Amino acid sequence: MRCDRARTRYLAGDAGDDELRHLQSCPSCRAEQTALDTTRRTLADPAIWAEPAPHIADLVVASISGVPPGAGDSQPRRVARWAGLVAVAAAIVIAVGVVLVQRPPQPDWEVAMPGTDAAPGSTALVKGWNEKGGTRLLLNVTGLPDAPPGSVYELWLTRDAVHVSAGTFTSAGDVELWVGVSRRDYPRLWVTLEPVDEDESLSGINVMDTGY
Amino acid sequence: MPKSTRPVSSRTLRRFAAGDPEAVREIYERYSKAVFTVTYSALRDRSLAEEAVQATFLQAWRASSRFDAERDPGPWLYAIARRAAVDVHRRERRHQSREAFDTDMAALPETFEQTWEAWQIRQAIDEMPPDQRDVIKTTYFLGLTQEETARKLGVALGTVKSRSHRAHQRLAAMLAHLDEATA
Repeated sequence: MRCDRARTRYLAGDAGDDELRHLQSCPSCRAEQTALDTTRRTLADPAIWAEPAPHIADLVVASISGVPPGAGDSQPRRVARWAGLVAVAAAIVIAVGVVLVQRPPQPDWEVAMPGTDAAPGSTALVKGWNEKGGTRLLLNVTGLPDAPPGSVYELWLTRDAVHVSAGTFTSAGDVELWVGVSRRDYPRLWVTLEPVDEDESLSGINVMDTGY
Repeated sequence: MPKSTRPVSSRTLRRFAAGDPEAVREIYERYSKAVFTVTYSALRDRSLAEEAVQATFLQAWRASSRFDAERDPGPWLYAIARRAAVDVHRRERRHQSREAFDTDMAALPETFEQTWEAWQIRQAIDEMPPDQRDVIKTTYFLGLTQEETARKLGVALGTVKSRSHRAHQRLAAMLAHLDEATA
């Protein structure tokens, strides 16, 4: 119990002479000294007390909604019989060839874009590839109704009050777009519903937004 | 008033391993603060740390079928969070030094070394009763004396002292427990 009291008071910064003497003379407590000092330093680090913004929980839930569980699980299955093994091996050779040809490289970043009150059931998982001169974007949009006739959905990348259009689409599903800026410089992604007309100003109808 | 964080039930862990998306929110509520402490400790940038938090839970979800629901998910999530922070750090380094081809991408700043201690301490803090947590947060984070803490929290000085003692006792016990686990 003496070790417990000495360590507790040392950690709290109010160890008296008795406790300090104990900490010096007790081999077990001496071995603990570095950990106690590290803990005191760590407790004063703002990172220990920081919390993610409340909306991150919704972004996490939205981001998994389009991803099947275990999607990263590529454990091979065991095949018992040699004939089956040959057939599976042949299939794997073909499949790997197809994957090597068709599978895009891993994105440089991905972010969930939840629906706003204007489209509460919608969400999009946006993947981005940083390329020379801009960013290739792949959106997997779910729950968004088709754009009404005479209108389109438009994706924007925004920094402060500067908006750069990444292009338009009209329905949910996989949408590939390109924008000539980087998300590093334009971190907010959002989608508006825009009438097809000569007015280039934003409609203000915000349907999905990474900052929502 | 903030609540102390409860452990995730074994039922929730089994649901997560079985691919139930509803279980993810419960696991997020339990572990997101510790995950953020790891990513923020490592990256020192709030928005990048939040991005790494998202990546952590997305990657955990993708790997959920390999998760053993009988085991404590903490160390598993810690490993994913640290890896996510490393990935974000290296991506940012690539952006910052496109022309510097000789940049050592394997080198990580010292902030990555202390993330396990930070995870453990954050976990211990999250499990504390709120009154104890408030006292040590006010003391360490705001740098107030015990007298100032008592005034700020509207409690007697003796109450602050006893809560502080119990909180530090809990932390000291955690360190002893860590020693036993690693011995």
